[in-house]
Amino acid sequence: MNNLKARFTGAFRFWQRNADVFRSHYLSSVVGNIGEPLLYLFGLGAGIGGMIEKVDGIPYLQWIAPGMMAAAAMNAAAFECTFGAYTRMVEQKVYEGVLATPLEVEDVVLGEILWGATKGLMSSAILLLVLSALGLFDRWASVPFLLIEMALFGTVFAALTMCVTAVSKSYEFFNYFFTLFLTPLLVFSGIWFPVARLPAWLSSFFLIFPTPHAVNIARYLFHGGGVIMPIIGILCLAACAPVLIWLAMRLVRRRLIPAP
Amino acid sequence: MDAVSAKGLRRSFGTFEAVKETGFSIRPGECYGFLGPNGAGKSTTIRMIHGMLPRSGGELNVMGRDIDLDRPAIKAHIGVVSQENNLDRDLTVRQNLLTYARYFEIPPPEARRRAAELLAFVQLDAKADARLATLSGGMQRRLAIARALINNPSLLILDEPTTGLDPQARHLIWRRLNMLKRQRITIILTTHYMEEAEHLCDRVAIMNGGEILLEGAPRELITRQIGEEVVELHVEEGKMPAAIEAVRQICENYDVHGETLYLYSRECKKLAQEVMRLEHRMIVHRRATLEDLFLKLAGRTLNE
Repeated sequence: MNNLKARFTGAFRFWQRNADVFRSHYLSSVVGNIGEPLLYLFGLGAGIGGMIEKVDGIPYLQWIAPGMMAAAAMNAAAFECTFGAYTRMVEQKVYEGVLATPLEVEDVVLGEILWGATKGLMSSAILLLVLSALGLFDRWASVPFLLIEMALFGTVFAALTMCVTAVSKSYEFFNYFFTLFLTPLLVFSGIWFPVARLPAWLSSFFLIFPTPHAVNIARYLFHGGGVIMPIIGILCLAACAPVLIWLAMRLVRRRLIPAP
Repeated sequence: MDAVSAKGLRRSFGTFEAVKETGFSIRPGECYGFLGPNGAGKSTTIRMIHGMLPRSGGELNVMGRDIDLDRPAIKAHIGVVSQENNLDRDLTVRQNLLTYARYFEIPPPEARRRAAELLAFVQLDAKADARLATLSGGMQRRLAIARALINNPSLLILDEPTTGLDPQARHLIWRRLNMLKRQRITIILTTHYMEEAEHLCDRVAIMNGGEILLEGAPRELITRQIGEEVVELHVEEGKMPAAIEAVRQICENYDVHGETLYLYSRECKKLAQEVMRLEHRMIVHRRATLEDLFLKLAGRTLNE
């Protein structure tokens, strides 16, 4: 128990370091993190929404809104834990400096993941504000649950990307990650259209990734509907988080501290 | 209790043995230097001491405790200046110290006090709010030293603290390290500047190929191995064999490195006069240094 407390204290110290840096240039970060989802919202909403009108009895823009929240959390966490974390780990050698203090590799990795989750939570929360202002969201009772969900999903995705960063040889590697992994997730996770439109094998295959689950939960919290998939989603995300965090810690330790 | 003690300490990377069965003990308050060429195993040794690298075998106690078992607690009392610059480039000079203090759980008011004190100590108070990119190499190294002192360490470890710095910056750092020595902080450093080791270290360990070849106080080692003085003979290209032939008559103890002949003797004055009679005009008669000792050892091991 004491160990766990020390771990979270250490992680929080590294989280604070990232938060301090973020505060000194938050404007550019915020613009980047919410600019893209807004672009999609208006572009696709006006373009495709004009042709489709309704999905499952819900106007198209409102239907895609929860998926966009999940996408915002995913993108922010992924960027932070790929380019951001890689820069700190490899280019700037920040981790090496920190490891000369009482902090250990595991503290730094946990801090980095929690920071990625924080960025994801911030992006999705800002998007939620915008959606509310546009009248696309008004189920206020859902707000705390949505924020908790995005924090959990952000943690899972940050941990997942941290594993990728731990084995990445260069920045170029992340190009593969984004085009071959993140883009398919954005397309096939039920953000823009119901996955029921896809062949069953394809939509089931994508359920091994966290994103479709996050979208199901968010859509339930936005619009209600079937409760089974959201519950499965919560269980999956909650189960994945500790496993991926553990794996990220192992991989980063292996990279930074050559075994004897 | 020794500040650091090692017995049969080993570290390999795959099949490469970076440190082979090494033993040493470092006393509290002394300045101990690891000397040697690149690849000698100096950095590997000190990275094991501050817990950055687990050892492959042997014993290693830091402040009386096994570093690999009690890492975070021991690290709380160590300050590290590593060879590569790993200052936090996203933060200002002062923020570097305050953020580092937080990793040690130093309360903010205390951290601010120590940061101000340390910035004055390394003469960076005027740069407190500057971004790292605006600092010269020497300033960054000084900041790294200030950062390593933020937790009031009883053991300060420096991996090549002045490599790549100009003489002025180097002397400023030496003065600061001498001040720390007077405060009885145990200092361990690695260097390949012999002058630095002679200037700062109470004792040195000369390493090569992962082993400690010699250990002792610098002056003592030099006198024992070389003598007090050295005569250097700068020989013209192609004339080395003839020069060696001539020198052999008057001095048996010599080394050749490139175009220079080094002659070692207990009676260098006499030797220098005799050498003057030879044709070579470029003669230097000077005090023996660690560098001589080192070249002699290196020459010997390379010949093996």
